[in-house]
Amino acid sequence: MELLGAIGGVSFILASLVIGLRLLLLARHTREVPEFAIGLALFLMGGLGYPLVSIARLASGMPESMRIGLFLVSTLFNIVGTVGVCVFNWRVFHPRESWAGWLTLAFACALAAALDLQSVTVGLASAALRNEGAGHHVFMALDGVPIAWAAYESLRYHRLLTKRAKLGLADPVVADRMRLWGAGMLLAFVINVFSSVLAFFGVDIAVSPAGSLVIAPLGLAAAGCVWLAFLPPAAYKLRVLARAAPTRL
Amino acid sequence: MSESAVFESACQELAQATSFDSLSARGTIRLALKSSGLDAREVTAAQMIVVVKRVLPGELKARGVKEPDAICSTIARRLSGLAPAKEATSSSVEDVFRRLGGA
Repeated sequence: MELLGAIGGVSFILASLVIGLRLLLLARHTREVPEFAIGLALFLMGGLGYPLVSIARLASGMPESMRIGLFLVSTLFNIVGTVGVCVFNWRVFHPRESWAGWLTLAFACALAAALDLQSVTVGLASAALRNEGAGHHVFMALDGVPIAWAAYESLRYHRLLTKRAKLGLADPVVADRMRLWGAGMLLAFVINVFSSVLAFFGVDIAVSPAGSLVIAPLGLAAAGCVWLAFLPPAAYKLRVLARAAPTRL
Repeated sequence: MSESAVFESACQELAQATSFDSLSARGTIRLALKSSGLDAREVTAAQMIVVVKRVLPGELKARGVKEPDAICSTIARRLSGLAPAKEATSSSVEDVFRRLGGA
């Protein structure tokens, strides 16, 4: 079970690091906000933040101050990452609508408020070492908001593009990319809900074998979706095109 | 946000070419756009021409309009005059996701 958990976790970290870095390099070239926002989110949140918090929680032999430090760095990465996902949703799907910008700002403020609540109640050390504290649990639950938003927008747009693709008005590969990104975000949201609910009941998913059994396959599937979305092998693209060809009107 | 100029032109052309009143023409074009995954606010002339040629005939036939193909060809021909003027930005979501995949 632990091996399964490790495979799921490592594949998720690797996919986040590789795809995140690739998108950041793309952003350096294009100077566009969407690739920068989502590249930063994947790299910091999935690639660095997730392993750091796991180390902070599991490395009981490490000095507490170092574990708390790792947790704080991971939290910082998490904040930047989740706000990055919000910025991506806003700039890509609603660039001309002010509510999306306000939602992003409100989300960042809510994260800060949750952290503040944690620090003035049981303290950040409880969150770092024992996954405890109402503020920490609210923070975890809030993490799901931009992810659910991303899943909703991508899957909604995928439906539109599928209809357009049948008329030759959209690229089936792009429509499929949107489906994969939406599916990856949906899986990440399920992981987030599962972790948050268990955390409210005092179960730390990072050290729970039963948690690994659920999280590992979901993490593996999410990693696969993100990988196929942003780094698709040529054979996969050809398959998507071949599948789309007979359905055109 | 209001409907695009292309949408308005297509509705006018449809109302002129059939016995539809303005409301029916708008509703019919809206339904054709919806089943094509397009939005009346952002549709471009090039997209509208495809919808008029390939989706609208079915909608007109379902409403008992005679010779829907001929009517749609006429509308498409008239819309093609608008084509280069107002290509909207509706493809920006697609453009971003195309870039993200390295294509």
